[in-house]
Amino acid sequence: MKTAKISIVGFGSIGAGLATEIAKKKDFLKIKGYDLKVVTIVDADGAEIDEDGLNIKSIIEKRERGEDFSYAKGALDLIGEIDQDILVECTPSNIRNGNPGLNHILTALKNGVNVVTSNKGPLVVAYKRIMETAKKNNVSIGYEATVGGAIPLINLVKGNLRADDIVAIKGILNGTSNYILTKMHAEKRDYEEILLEAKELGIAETDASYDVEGIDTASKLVILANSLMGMDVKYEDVEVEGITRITPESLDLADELGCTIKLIGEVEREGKRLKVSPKLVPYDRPLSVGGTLNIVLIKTDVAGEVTISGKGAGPKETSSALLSDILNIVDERC
Amino acid sequence: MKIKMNLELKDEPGTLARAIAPISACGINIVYIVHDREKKQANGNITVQITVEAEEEQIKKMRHSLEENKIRILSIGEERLIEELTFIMIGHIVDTDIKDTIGRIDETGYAEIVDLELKMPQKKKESSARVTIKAVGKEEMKRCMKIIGRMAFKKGITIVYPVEL
Repeated sequence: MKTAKISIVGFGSIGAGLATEIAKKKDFLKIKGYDLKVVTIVDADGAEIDEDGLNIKSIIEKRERGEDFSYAKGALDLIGEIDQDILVECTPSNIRNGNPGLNHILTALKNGVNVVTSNKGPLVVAYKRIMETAKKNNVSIGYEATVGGAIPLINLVKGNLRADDIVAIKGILNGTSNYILTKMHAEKRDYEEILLEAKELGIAETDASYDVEGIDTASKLVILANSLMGMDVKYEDVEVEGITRITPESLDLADELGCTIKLIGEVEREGKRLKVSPKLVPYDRPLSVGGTLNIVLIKTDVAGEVTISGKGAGPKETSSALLSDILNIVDERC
Repeated sequence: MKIKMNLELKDEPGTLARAIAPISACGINIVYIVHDREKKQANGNITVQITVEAEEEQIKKMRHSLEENKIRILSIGEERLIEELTFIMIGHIVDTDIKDTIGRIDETGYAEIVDLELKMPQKKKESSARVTIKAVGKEEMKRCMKIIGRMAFKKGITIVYPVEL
């Protein structure tokens, strides 16, 4: 049995979702030979600590009752203090300076703690620095959950496709904008109406600008370009246009051509081209997937084109990617 | 009809003007000239590509006139618009003068707008148009896309191109 002590930093929907899945799958994971113990849960307003493993269910119930955390400690206090193998960073993304996530990640790595994250900001801002810090301290970092939710994209390329040279990646990397475009097309309704509905359904955030203006897709492209294509690019290198100007009439005109409109992120190594823009996609092509689905087309020198699709967001789906990284690290390091 | 021809000229000052004069003298409209002095033939001469708009009789007259002036026609044939691109424009298309937009493509001489469908919403919102352009080749289509890009930026229009697969 391989045992790992895990800290969860950020107890919003992703952090709580992961904790719930770890608790729910405890027996299943034991059959597979893994004993995962969540030893700390930290959020902006405090922490729960138990070096023998926390009772996740009671913590979630406690938070639902609106009760405070038991300890007034922050993530940085606990990194050196509590014995832990893996820190899972799930705080909200900040693509301007990467913090607080970047600080958490770098401190953990410097203290010899492996890191798994769903937070895009630190990787967009400081990919090279994070990788160098992990290497220098002989620890691992997993970031599958930053791109494409449940789609095993990064591990697919770094694992099964590791002999291939990735020359281009394109696809739908944002579920919210895909949901809005799909609904607008099917129901011939205005962008503003569907956005409002998506907010009410919890598919779009109250501030959906990251999703609909293409910022989220552009951030993911930067991570893919730097980590899978050996490029050295910044957010500013991406040409970005979102879906806010798409009209029901433009979708009608596309329909008459046998096409729909999708927000497509594209990165091509040749010419260092990174672009997010609405594009006409024929119905008979894989990139026309609807709803909140994500899809990624990877173009390689040997395999040719590989297409992979799945749910791109949601706490449960993101947990699948986080758990995959956690178990990879347990296999390698614990 | 549109005719494209390649003429062989000596790499000397004034030879291009001497080649153009007999064409103009036949009343033929020159729409497009590609004059690349860097690409030389083995004999040191250069090739100039000229596209003209002319009737059959005028072409006959022009060929005769070029031969008389000792200008060699390497190839000549009807120009065909083989590249096609359909895209969607979103914005205040009518207010920003759609005729001007069409005009800029048509006046290139190497591309034409062959289809345009405009849809206006009921409310006073931005309209959408589907445009199909045909051009004589891939390079010419790229040039068209640059023209469209500059025009869209200036007029605040969003362009939705087909995804490259």
